[in-house]
Amino acid sequence: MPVTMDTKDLAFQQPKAGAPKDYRTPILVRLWKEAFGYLLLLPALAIILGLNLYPTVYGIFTSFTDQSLLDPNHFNLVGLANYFKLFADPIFRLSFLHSIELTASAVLLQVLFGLILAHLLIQRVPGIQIFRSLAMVSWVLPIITAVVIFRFFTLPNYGFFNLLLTKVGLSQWTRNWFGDENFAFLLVLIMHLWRNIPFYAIAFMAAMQAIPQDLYEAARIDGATRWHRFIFVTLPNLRYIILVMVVLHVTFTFNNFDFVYLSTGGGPVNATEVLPTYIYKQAWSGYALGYASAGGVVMLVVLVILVMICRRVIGGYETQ
Amino acid sequence: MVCSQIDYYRSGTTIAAAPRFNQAATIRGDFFRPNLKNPTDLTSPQNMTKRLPIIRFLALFSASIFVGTSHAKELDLWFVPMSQDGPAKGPLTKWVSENLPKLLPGVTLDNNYGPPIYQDAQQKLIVQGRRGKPDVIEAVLEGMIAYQKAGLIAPIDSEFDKWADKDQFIPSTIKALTINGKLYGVPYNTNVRVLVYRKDLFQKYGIEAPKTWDDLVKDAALISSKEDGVAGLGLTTKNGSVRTFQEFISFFFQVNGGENPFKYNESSKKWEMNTTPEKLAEVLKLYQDVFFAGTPSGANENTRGNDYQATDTDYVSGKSAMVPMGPWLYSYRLTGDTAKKILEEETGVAPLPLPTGGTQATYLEVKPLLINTASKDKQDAWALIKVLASKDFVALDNQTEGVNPPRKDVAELPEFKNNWWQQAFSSQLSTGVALAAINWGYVINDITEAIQKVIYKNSTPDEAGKALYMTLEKRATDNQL
Repeated sequence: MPVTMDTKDLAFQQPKAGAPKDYRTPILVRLWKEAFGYLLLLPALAIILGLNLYPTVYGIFTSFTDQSLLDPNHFNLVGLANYFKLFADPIFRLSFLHSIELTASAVLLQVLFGLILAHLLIQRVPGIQIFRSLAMVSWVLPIITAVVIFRFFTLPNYGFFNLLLTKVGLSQWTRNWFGDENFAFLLVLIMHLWRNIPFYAIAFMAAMQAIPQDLYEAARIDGATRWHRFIFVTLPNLRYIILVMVVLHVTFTFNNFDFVYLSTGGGPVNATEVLPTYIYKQAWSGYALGYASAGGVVMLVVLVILVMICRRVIGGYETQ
Repeated sequence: MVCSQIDYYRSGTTIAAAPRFNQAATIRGDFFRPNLKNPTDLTSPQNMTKRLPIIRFLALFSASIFVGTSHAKELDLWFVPMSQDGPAKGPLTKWVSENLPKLLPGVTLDNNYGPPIYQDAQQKLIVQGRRGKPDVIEAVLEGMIAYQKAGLIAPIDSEFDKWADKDQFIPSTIKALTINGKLYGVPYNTNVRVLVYRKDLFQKYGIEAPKTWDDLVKDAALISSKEDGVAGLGLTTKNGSVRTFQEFISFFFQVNGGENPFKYNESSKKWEMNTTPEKLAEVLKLYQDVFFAGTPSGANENTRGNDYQATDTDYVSGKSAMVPMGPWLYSYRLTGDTAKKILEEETGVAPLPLPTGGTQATYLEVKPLLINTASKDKQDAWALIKVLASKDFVALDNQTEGVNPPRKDVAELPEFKNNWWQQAFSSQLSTGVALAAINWGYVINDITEAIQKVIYKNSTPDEAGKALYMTLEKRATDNQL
């Protein structure tokens, strides 16, 4: 039965003849009317300005000074000197490269394995709830605990991995894994994956559960295989959550300090040095606050670009 | 007795009778009660004149109460061994809670003894120290130098000179805490690095503790080859680790005639290099030799990048036969039977082996007690330092932590004099070299990076020594020290 609508129903949208039009109301009067709304916004605005904007702006200002943590009240403006020095330092360039490599590989693999794990966790089999709960353990553990576990497992003489290798006759492979320049970076990556994949999986699983079954039913009727259903039904419906997770974890991984600092300190021979550990060392070994701030500003710019790229790539896919 | 102790620790501070405060409050309450029959009485000139002496008396009395009670303050003390969950925490905090009320009446301590890690304490103090808290800081020498550069600690020469105990302190430990001619701290704990070795294994193979670097490399390789699963020498080589640096600098002092790598030039008012690329390379060559000379080598290649926990644990579990070490290792005997047997029955202590033409020298660690420049109660802070550097407290701390006493009277106590471990380390104190008063942060990173370049075969010792020299020289030129 067709739905009809009387034009009288729209009458409330039309201004009555002779009534003053809204756009004619002076702006101050309208502001005054809406003042209460602005008042309600004020606390949030103050918090954002005070806690986010001020430190960011001050950090950017500091990057143009030679401020030292040992004498923070006396400093000189040095222009772009800190930035020139930063880009001339080969260890900074290496740290930059490592940060990009770590972020790209960690986030990509987390999405991939997160999808696989989500697909497994969504299955309706007895006891799956227990697995879903257990899957989150690594994400719930504090990072320091995770690092201590990994360090303990990889110790040269008593570590579980090395004992296992010795037991199976591969003692020539035993080593101080975090102290080996060929494996240290890989281990840092593995720690990121071990911690975050379950979080991705739970988030993806929640989004998968919200996909209407009708879509799968329709695809099945159209003869779509399991793979096709995943590509053409599941994945498009997960775009938004993937965007959220990628943006969150690009920021988290690029900014992450704890895993590297606690496990390798950036070594061996700078094999795991990333921007946060590099900046930390400048700030706390040399007390060079201005120089360290310049590193922080570079990180900020890179992060903004990375997040914009993520939004563009995944957002573009969404509009298609 | 209590009075004499008060005078002794407090240096003339008088304590007003705080309990009278309530009485004063009662008097004040009566006086200010309004006269309801004639309210104008209070403001009439006649009455005011009559009451003036009483007002003066009460004003003075209140002021004296205020001055008296203002001394009953809570001081903030940052003291890592009392904060960290280690063997010293229980005994030290118990001693303080039992003795402080008797020794410093009117002064209480905040129960939180600050961050449990020196690095954390250092960072927090640099950020927040100017607020005046903590009043008293316990630190490591590298930290003290940073605090002095930041103007966070107050010189204590005049107070120390007046103290009757000043002659009890070993001069080298006082010298280590003197920067630009001013004393900034009182030592309560000291130690040096020596060679700790498995004397049972050395006896087994008919060798003596090595006296030269050549012997060290040779003996380490011999033990590695003969003893299955035992490395001849254990070294700390983690990137940026203070312990890695301390081991390196001990060997370096021997090559550099017992002198620091930097020297202050009075005329140019700048730090300058006080070594050569060749000397730095010589120490790095030692690292190369212990890791790669001989088959198997003296040090286990798989332990490259080890931090101090692994170095300590390897020795006390029998995985290494020699380590450059400080006296704290002895506390590991409480961790298990193997560690107890190794440390009490099978361990010997010897001076660090010497390079050809080298000087007997080693890294001297001194832990000082310091006063915050911004403390609002420096007098009581100094009184607290005297308590914590007193004979009783130092003896308790040094015995519990297994370190050496910086006080002569403590070193003379039977529990120290008859302790072979203490004596073995104490006998080397005279060869200890204190670090120069520079910011060692960058230098520690530079040195540990150079070590890693050599032991991971990214550079030869000569290349790494030359590069390290240039980096350090640039740091000196750029005023980064």
